[in-house]
Amino acid sequence: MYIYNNYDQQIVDERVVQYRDQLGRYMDGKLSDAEFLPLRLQNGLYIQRLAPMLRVAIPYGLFSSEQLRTLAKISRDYDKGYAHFSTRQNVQFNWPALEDTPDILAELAKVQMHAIQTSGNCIRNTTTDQFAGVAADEYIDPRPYCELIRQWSTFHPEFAFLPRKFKIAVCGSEKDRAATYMHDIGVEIVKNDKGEVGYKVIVGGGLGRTPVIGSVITEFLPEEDLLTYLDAILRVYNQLGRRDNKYKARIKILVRSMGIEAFREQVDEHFAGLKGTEATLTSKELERVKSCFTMPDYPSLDDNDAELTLKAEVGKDAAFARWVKTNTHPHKVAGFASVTISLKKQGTAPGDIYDDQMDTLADLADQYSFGEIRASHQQNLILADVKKTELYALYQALKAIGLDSANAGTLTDMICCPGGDFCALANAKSIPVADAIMEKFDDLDYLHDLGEIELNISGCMNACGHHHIGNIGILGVDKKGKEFFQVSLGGSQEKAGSLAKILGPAFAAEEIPNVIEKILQVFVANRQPDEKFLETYRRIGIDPFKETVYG
Amino acid sequence: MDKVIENGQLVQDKYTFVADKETLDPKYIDDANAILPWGLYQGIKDQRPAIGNAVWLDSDELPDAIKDDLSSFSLIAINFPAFTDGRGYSFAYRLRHTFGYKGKIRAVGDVLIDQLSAFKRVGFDSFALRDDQDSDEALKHFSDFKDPYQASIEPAEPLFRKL
Repeated sequence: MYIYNNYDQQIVDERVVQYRDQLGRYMDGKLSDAEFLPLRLQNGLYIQRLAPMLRVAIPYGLFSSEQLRTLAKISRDYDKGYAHFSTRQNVQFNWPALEDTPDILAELAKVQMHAIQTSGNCIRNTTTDQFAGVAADEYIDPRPYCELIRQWSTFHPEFAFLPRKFKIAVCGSEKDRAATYMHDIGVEIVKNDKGEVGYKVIVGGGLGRTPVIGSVITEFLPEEDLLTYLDAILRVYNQLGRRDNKYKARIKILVRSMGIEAFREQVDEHFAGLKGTEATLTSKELERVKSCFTMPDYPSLDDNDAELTLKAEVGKDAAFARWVKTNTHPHKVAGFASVTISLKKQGTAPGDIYDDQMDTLADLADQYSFGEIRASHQQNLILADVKKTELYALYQALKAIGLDSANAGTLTDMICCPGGDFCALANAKSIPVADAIMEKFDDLDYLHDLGEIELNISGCMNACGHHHIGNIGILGVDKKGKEFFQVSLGGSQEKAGSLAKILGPAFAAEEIPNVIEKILQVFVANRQPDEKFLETYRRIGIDPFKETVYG
Repeated sequence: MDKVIENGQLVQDKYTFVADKETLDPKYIDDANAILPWGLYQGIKDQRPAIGNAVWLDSDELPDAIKDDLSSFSLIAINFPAFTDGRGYSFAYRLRHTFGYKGKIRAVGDVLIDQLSAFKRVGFDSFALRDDQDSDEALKHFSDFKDPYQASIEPAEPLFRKL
């Protein structure tokens, strides 16, 4: 992974000093609430319903065992002994005291971490595929490009007060696990006919109250032009994006109102003045950053032997067999697999993990996966490089700390925002709904039989739970002061994506598990062999679901 | 006369900021030290000297509008109606980078201590702080970050070219 040089370290250290000073001036009454607000937000600090919430960046979801131990320690020393992994591959602490936040940042800086631009109307944490670097369907490792974007966007002097927040996602594989068409900018790393590396750039996608699938702005941008082209897009948006209405301020609204052709023309004009200037990436810099993401020193293993061992262990332990089926994934290298550690368990909010679990997990990462961990936008954790012959030992160790949920990719591997229990924006409490679904669908054989289903829950139309792109989406709405939940079907985060369609009138929270059950019955009754939920839905349409649910 | 920050110190300012964008008080027509709203300046261009003028742009007036007149100006002020309105950062950058303007660029309006270092990086070199801001404190905040990552106006080279 990327290791800070002296400059990188200096910047996060300077940020701690700057923030400590800002907080001090705020406490002394020299900065008003309104003036401190964007300063603290650009540092990930929200004032929530019950306490401040601090969002710490995990750039493109990749972190080390040492960093995980620091997160565990922070949750113990400054919080209530747990942390929450978000859909932006970040981690959140729900209960820090305001006056402790500079000390928390100082602790983070010691292990090359920060909370820079995890909120506010600026360029946020860049996200990517949680299997970057190891996925079997990958053409190019997206992580060096994510790191280049991280550095370029960190304290970019021109873009700290954009019309609205700005999110960039990068993908370099056949299957889009980063939802690039649903971001303000999506960068897909590609090769042209000559075999040169470059990018297909997508602009103006997004969820929120007006979900839009992004438009392609360029089919092929040369590799060295990444940062200057991003500058050009941001410069157009910063000058022309709407600032009179925060619900119309995202770049997707600008792109839609100008039309992609006119928007592209503006970007090209700005880019023409930047192409080839000193801001352009150099091959030396590309090489420097790429060299931080070399493959670990994999031992050469015989995949057949590994499979035989695994098969024998799977045969002896049905629970392990189920876990292998859902929670392990193909790996580029023979004899290896990637493992999803599901943070979806009944009784725990999706994405939550306790301090002692984090400590043990850090040890397991050292022991089984080269000391690295990834956070996924499905709010799970990943050990990316595990020997197949060690899967059983890892599984047993995970079981001992209660992190053995064998539900990755299934119905109960839900994406869920913190909702009305924590968030001041939410209309509805999403976590209890997730828990009720988890309770109703606790039969693993049934879940596995249903196959891949993405169920996403948002507590309000800001869509932090990505309900628009869930195969089944649930949205909390407020009707005359009462909480209701609207159900939609058919969303997908795959390339070029699809947005879910609303099924019909909203339901009370307690009705939701039964509604989901009816939806699943329609699926099971209509599916063809090996068909996934989304495929069946696309074939039969929404009507049979409507008839059964409302009939 | 008010004070502004230039070249890292607080200095007396010779200019008068003319805030009214609708009607021009005739006394400013011949006043070489008046910072006129760009819209009103256009109407009296012929009565003004060929060089040394000062105008200001509001946050919804793109710098493209004045690009053919730049040689007439020795100061362009950019207004920040609210410090959260970040358009002016791109305006300053473009005046310098795209249009090659070499005169002064002043930040006016809701100009706060915590934005100064970014202002300086995108090409501002004159700062009229909001009245309630502590100017001594402000002087300490021009270089909170010694070696920033990106290319902008200052520095023009990204950090990676130094490595």
